[in-house]
Amino acid sequence: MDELIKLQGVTKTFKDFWGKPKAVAIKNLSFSVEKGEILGLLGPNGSGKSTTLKLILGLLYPTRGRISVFGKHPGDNVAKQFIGYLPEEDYLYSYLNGRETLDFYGKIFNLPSKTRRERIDFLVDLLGIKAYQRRAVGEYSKGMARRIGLAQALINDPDLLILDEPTSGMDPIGIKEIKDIFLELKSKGKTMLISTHLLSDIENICDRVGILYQGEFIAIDKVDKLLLPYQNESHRLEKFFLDKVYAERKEREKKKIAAISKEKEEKSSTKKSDEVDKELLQDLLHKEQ
Amino acid sequence: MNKRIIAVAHNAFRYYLFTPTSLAIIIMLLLVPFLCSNLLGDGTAEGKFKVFVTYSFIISSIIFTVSNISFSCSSISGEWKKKTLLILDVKPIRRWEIILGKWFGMLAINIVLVACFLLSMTFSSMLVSYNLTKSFPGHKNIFMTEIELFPVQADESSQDKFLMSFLQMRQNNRKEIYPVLAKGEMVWTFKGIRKTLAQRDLPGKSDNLSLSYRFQTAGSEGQNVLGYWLVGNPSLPAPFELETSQPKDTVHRLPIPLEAVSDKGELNVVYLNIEPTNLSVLFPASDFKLLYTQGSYWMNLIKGYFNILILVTFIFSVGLCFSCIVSHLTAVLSTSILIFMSYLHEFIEIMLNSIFREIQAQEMVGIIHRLSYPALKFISFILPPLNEALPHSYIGNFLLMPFSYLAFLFIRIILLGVLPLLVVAIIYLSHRELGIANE
Repeated sequence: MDELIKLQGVTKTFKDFWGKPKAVAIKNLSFSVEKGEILGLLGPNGSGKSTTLKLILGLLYPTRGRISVFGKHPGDNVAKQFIGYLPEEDYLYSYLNGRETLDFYGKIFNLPSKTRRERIDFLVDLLGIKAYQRRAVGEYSKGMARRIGLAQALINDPDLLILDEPTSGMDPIGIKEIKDIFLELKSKGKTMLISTHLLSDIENICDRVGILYQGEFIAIDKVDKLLLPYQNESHRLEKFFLDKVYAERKEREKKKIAAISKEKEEKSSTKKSDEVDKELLQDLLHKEQ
Repeated sequence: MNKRIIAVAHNAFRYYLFTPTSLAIIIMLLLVPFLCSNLLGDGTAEGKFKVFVTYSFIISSIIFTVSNISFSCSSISGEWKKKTLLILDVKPIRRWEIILGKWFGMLAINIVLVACFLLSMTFSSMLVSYNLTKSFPGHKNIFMTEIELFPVQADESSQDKFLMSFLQMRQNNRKEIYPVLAKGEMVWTFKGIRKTLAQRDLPGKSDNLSLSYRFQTAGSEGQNVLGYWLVGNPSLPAPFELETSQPKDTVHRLPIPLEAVSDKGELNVVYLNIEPTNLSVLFPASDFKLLYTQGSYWMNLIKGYFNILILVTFIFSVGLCFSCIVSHLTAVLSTSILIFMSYLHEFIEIMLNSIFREIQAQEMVGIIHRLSYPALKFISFILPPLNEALPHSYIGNFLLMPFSYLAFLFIRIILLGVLPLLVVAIIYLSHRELGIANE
């Protein structure tokens, strides 16, 4: 199978103005997304999900490691032709209306005007934004803006969809509709990388799930395989996720405590040896005298 | 042009045009020339015209400067902050295309703004012309402009060569003043007079070729000085003799017969300071020129608009460059300082000269003086002189704006100023991580 996205030992360290390391967002991350696959990135806030997506899109550059998208460098213009991206918030031009927004992005993809018109009509219908397509985007509610955001991500009929918290701010009906669209896209063989902390978003959609914690994967595998121990329970993914995260947190805290106590022990032992040295020196001085 | 650049340019143009700020700017640009057309100046027709042109161009240039700083500094940094740039960057568009798109969008909005100013200025000029015809019958037609021509050569044939060379040396080897000693004479040569233009039969203008000059002498104030002029060229059997009687330190215009100019456009002017009561006279070189009229005020205005467009192009290019590098507020501050210094170019030159003189005069001068001289010299080298780029000095003085002046502006500002700025912006932004805030 083709690997559309491939990350090999990727590390991302954010630096301050003087170039000193400030925070390590991603640590030695390796994974791949194959063609037609849907991978869900789960993780608590600040675990590095959005950073991973930005690295794949070429908005951030890795400190170490290699990334390839469609076999090319992230940010390559040819690869970008086949990518649709929905950011975690709707960064759209508030003075354009819904239709103009889609038309603008269609022009960026060099779509001919007829194709653009047809595509916009189709998306407006699909995402249920026909009624307010002529209103300025700045006046949209969060849910409406999310839909137009998804429409702009789909304007080029992309082969690879990168979605950052796609259902945030949407009502339950909206969430259901968006999930249906994802399932339809899945049936068409589209590849998706979805980052979210809303587990219900991806439970029935994803083929594989990866759980990120402090910039590292603590689990990545097929959904069925990961949820095998939780077969007879409701909210399986949620339970699995919480168990994993809590276990990891406990583990790391234990390690931290162990490291601190070890450090203390080392300090006290060096102190003792210093005292011994002093005694020895005093003895020697006495002898000389 | 690339469709993506057009799309970004169109988007930027729409954004700038439909903001309340832009509408306010358009209204101001429409109103400024109209309001300035009501100014009286020093009470003369020329004064009123001069004040109208000068104030219209200066006030509008302030509006252009402020609005362009505001537009350009938010162009990239604003999108970066609002993160619309993030969505744009993941689409198949290169970063240089985004920058060029923004640049063309700003150029388009400035063309609209300059067109508004053109409309208002044209209408107001007609209004001023009509008012002048009514209030000052027989005034100088404001729709005529003059070409100024300076002598290419000046030779003294004084009896006292030693004294003459001493005077020349005192002038620091620059011909700032043409000295004519008592009982002495001076010959000036003008070349390149476009006789066809000078010969044009312009209504209401009999003195369409004249020598404009001013002189200084030790004589008492208000007393007339008698002078004799010979004008002609070697192909003539005899030069034309003209006599003048004028007080010192006022600008005079001596009408020159067109026949005195040779077919090649050459003219020799001789001043004979032979009146026995005359003392030595000094002609300041900056005021010694040949003038001939040409009916092209409108051409001057069109050149003036083009001039303003070049000027604003530099301003928004500086803003765009800074907005690619730093945050909005820092970009506004940096651009404002740079543009302000460009307008004060003359001031920098004066400072440079004074520091240079001090360094030359004293052996031990402060380290600040020694360091500030090269720093200022560099700033003066890289900054286009925006104060000189304002077209009012030509239009307001009835002078024809020469194409060489526009060409100089174009090269100095667009090729040496704008292009390097765009290259810096493109190179810098192409290597930046847009996923990090630009603060």
